[in-house]
Amino acid sequence: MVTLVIPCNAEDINAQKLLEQVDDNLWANTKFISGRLIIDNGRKVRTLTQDSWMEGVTRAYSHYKSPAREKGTKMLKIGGKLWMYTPRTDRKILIAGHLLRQSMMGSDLSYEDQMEDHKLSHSYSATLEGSEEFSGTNCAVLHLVARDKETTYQTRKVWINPENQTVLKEERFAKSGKLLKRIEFKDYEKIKTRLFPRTLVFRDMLKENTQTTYKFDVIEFDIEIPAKYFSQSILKR
Amino acid sequence: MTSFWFRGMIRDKARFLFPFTVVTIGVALVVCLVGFMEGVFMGMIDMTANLDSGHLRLVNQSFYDEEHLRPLDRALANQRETRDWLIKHSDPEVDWAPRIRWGAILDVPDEQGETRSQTPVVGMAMDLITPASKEIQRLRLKSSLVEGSLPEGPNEMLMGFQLAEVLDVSVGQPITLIGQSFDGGLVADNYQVVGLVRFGVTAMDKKMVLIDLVSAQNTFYMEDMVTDWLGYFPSSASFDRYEKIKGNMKAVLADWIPPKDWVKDDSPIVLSIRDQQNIGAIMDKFRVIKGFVVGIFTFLMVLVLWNAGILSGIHRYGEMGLRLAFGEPHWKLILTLAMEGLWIGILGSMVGSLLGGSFAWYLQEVGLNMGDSFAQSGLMINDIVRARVTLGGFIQGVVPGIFASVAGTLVASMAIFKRSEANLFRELEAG
Amino acid sequence: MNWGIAAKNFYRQGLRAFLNVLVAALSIIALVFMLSLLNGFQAQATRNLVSTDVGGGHYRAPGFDILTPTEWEDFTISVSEALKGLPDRDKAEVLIQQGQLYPNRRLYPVQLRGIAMDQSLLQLPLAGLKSFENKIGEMIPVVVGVKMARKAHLKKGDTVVLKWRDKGGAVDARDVLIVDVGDIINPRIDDGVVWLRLDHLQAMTDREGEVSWVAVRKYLGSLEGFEFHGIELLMADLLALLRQDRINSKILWGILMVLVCTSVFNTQILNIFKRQKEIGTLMALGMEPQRVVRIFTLEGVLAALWALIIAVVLGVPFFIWFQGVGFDVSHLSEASFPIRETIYPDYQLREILVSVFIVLALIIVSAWLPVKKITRLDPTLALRGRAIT
Repeated sequence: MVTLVIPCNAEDINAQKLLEQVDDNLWANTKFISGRLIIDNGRKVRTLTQDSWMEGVTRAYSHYKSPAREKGTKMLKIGGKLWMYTPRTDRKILIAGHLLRQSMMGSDLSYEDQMEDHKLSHSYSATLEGSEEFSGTNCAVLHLVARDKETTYQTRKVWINPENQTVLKEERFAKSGKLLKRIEFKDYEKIKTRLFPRTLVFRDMLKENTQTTYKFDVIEFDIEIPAKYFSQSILKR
Repeated sequence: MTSFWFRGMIRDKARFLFPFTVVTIGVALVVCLVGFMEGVFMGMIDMTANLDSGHLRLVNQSFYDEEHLRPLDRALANQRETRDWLIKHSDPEVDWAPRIRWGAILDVPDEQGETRSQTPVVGMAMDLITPASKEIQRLRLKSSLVEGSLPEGPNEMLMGFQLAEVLDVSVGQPITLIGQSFDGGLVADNYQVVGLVRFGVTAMDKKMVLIDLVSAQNTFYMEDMVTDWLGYFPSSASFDRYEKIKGNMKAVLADWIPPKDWVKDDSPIVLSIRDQQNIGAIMDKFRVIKGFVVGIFTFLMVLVLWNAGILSGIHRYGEMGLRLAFGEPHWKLILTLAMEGLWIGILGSMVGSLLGGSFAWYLQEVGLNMGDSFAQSGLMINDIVRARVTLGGFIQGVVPGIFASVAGTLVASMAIFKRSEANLFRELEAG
Repeated sequence: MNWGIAAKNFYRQGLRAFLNVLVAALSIIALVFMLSLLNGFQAQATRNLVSTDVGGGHYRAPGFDILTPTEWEDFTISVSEALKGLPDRDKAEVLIQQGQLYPNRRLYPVQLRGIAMDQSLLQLPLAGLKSFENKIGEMIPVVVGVKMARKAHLKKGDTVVLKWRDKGGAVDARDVLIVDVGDIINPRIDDGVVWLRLDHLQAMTDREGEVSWVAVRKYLGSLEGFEFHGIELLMADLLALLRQDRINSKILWGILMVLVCTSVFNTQILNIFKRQKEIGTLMALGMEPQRVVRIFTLEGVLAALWALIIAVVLGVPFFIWFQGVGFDVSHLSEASFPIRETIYPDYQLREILVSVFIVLALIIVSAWLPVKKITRLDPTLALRGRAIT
C-alpha cells in the first residue's frame, strides 16, 4: 500500500457535506444483505454466513446460517438495545454492559461496534485534513470528532473518494489519538443507484495477526421488511 | 534356647514391659508427629493441588503462558490417546484427572426469561458424574455443599455460595453461560444451579463455578479436548516421588508422537506442583523445619529410652552377677543384653508404628474436628486437622526406636563392667 | 528439711537428672519459639497488609467489590470534606479501574490502581511516579510489581500499550512507560495490578476528584455516603488461615509435651525403684508416706525449676540471635501470602508466662503420679527392695 500526500484544492470540498453524501450512499432506508463473516484469529480461519435486514441505522436483525454451531443464532438491534438469541439456549439474552465490549462471535468487532446506530455525519463533525492517495485513488482525508463525549471512538479518520463519495478506508482512534481499528472498504459495485462495497476488512490494531472480513454476496436496497423481523418475538425458534 | 530366652524376656515385667512400653510410646509419638506435620503441610499443598495444580500437570505450553486469559483454543485434543500415554508413561499409582479451566459470563434470567443480571465468572470443569471419578472426594464437595446436591446429569452447575448471594440465585435456578468456544466462536448454553458450595476462600466463593467435564466439552464445543491433565498420587506418596515421575515423563515427552488431532504448535509440558506458584521453595523450607522438629523429638526420645534401658539394667544387676559368677564372659552377657534391646526395639517399634500409624491414618482419613463454626465448611481451609501417613514417618520413628533401645541397654550394661561380680551378687542377695 | 532431702537426692542423680532437665528446657524453648514465630508471622502479615493496602480500614464507595472488575467503574465516589480534611499521613485515596494491557500485542486484562502521591499512610514502592508532573505528559508513567512484570514479560523502561475507558465510555489507549518494577511485599496488589498516580488515572478516565475508597489510619465514625470496611473484614481470609496455624502448632506442642512428661514420669519410676530401700528406711524410721511423696515430688519441682533456668540460659541467647537473623520466608509471597521478607518472632510476655506455667505444671504432675503409690508401700518389703518390681 502506497500512501503519499499530494496537493489538493481543499477549499473546494465541504467536509461535512461530503460525509453526509457518504452516509446517504451507504445507509438506505432498508436493505438486505446476505454475507459471509470470515474471522482469522491468527491461528485459525472461521467463516460464518448470515442474512441481515436493516432499517435505517437503528434497527437491524441478523440470522446466522452456518456453521452448524452458530446456525439459528439471531441478533436483534432496536434503538440502543441489542439482544441475542441462540437456539441452544432458546433464550433471548440482553447484550449489555460488560458483554457489549466483548468480541462479537470471536471477530475483531465488538458487539458495541456492531451496535453503532448513528450515521457518521450525525455523531461526528468533520473537517478536511488534506488529501492522500490510497490504493490508486486520490482521496479526501476527513478528520471526524465526536459531538458527544460518550461516543466510543472520539475521533476517526476516513479516506473518501470525492468523485463518487465512497469510503475506502476508515481508522478509529482512542481519545489520545492512538490508532485502534482500521477498516478497509473494497470491491465497490453499483447496485441500483448506489455504490456499495462488497468487502469490508476489520483489523484490531492492538492485536497481532487478527483480521475479520465481511463479504457481501447479496445486497438489496429498499426492500419490504416484514414487521416481525424487528420485533422481540422473532427471538425464538 | 532362643525360645527359652525369649519367653524369659517377655515374662519379666521389668525386663520387657517397661522398656517395651517406652519404645512403643516413643515410636508411636514420632510416627504421629511426622504424620501430623506432613498432614498439615500436605493439607496446605493439597489445597492447591486439588483445585488448581495437581501433583503433576500436563498442559499445553501456550495455554500455560496465557493461563490468565484461559485460552480454550490452546486445549489439547485426543483425550483418550493422551490419557493412555499418561498412564503408560507415568506410574500406575497416579490418577489422571482431565480438567477444563474456563471463563465466561453468567446470565441470570428472570421468570420471563429476560436477562436479570450478568457477571463474569471463572470456572473449572471436572468429572463430577462418572461413579469411578475421584474428583468429588478430592475436592470434598460433599462436605462443602451448603445447599442443594451434587450434579447428576448434564448441564448442572455448582456455584460458590457468595456468588449465589450476589446474583440472588438459589438452587434450581436456570443460568446461561456465555463465552467463547474452542475455536473462538460464540458459545451460549443453559445450566441449572444444583448446589451451592462453600470453598472457604473468599475469591472462590465469590467467583467460582464448577461444572461436569462432559457438559463443558459440549458447551464449549471441545469434544475430546481438555485444557489440563492433573495427576494425583495417593496420599502415601512423597514429594520426591512426584519429582521422580515427572522426570521420567519429561524424558519421554519429546518422543511422543502427537495424536492426530493435535495442532502442530501444540507442545505439552509436564509440571509438578513444585513448579507452580513457587511451592517448591515452600516445600524446601518446610523440610528444614520438619527436620528440626523431628530432630529435637528424636533426641528427646533417645533420652527417654536410655532411661528405660538403664532402668531395666538396674533391675537385673543380681541376675548379671549370678551369670558372671557362673562364668559367663562379659562380652556374651552384653551381647545378649544388646540382643534383648534389639528385640524390644523391634517389637516396640512394630507396636508403636501400628499405634501411631493407625492414629495418623485416622487423622488422614477422618480428620480431627477442632470444633469451630468454620469447621463444616471447608473445601480449602478448615479446622479439621489431618495427618498423612508416609513411609518416611515410620522410618523416622522406627530407626531411633530400635537404636535408642539398643543404645540404652548398652549404656546401662556398661555399669556391669564397672562393678565386680561380688558387688552385683550382693545386690542380688539384697534384691 | 523436705527441700534439703529432695535437693540432695536430685543432685545425686547426676547426668540423668541433667538430661531430664535438658529435655524439659528444650521443650520450653521450642514452645516459646513456636508461639513467638507464629505471632511474628501474624504480626508481620497483618502489618504488611495494613501498610500496603488496608491501613486502618477503607471508606468505600457503597457496593464496590474488588472481586468484581466489571463493576469497578460503577462504584466511585467523590471524597467528602471530612476525609479531605485529614492530613496526608492519615489517609490514602485510591481509584480502581479496569484496563487492558497489550504486552507483545497480546491482551492482558489488568487492574489500574491510582493512588494519591502525597499520602504517607501506605508504604508502596512508587517513588518513581512521584517525580512526574500531575499533568500527563508524552507517556503515562506506571509502576508494576515484580510478579506482574514477570508474568507479563515487562521490565523497567519498557513501553507498552494500555487501553481503558473513560467515564463516558469512550475508549482511550496510550503507551505507558514502566518507570519501575517495584518490590511489592503484598502479592495481592502486585499480580495483575498496574500502579498509577491518582491524578493521572482521574484525568485519564475523566473522573476528577473521584475515588473507589479512601484508606484511613483510624475509624472516623460512619460517614454519609461511604461504607466502612474494617481491618477484620478486609483481612478475613488471612485471619482464618492464621487461626488454623495456631491450632496446628498447639497439636504439635501437645505431642511434644507427651514426650516430655513420659521422660519425667519414666525417671521418677526409675528413681523410686532404685531408691525403694531408702524409702523403706525412711518409712521404717517413722516418716509419713505423704512426706516421702512430697520429697519425691519436690524433686520433680526442682527438675522443673532447673528446666526453667536452663531454658532461660540457653533460650535467651538463641532468641536474641534469632531476632538478628530472622526467618526468611520470601517464597511465601509467591503463594499469595501477604508477606515477603524475613520474619522475626514476636515475644509476648503474657503468652510466654502462661505456656511456661503449663509446662511446669505438667512436669510436676508427671513427677507426682508415679510416686503417689509410695503411700501404699509396705516398708518391710521396700527395705528388702521387693516392694516395687
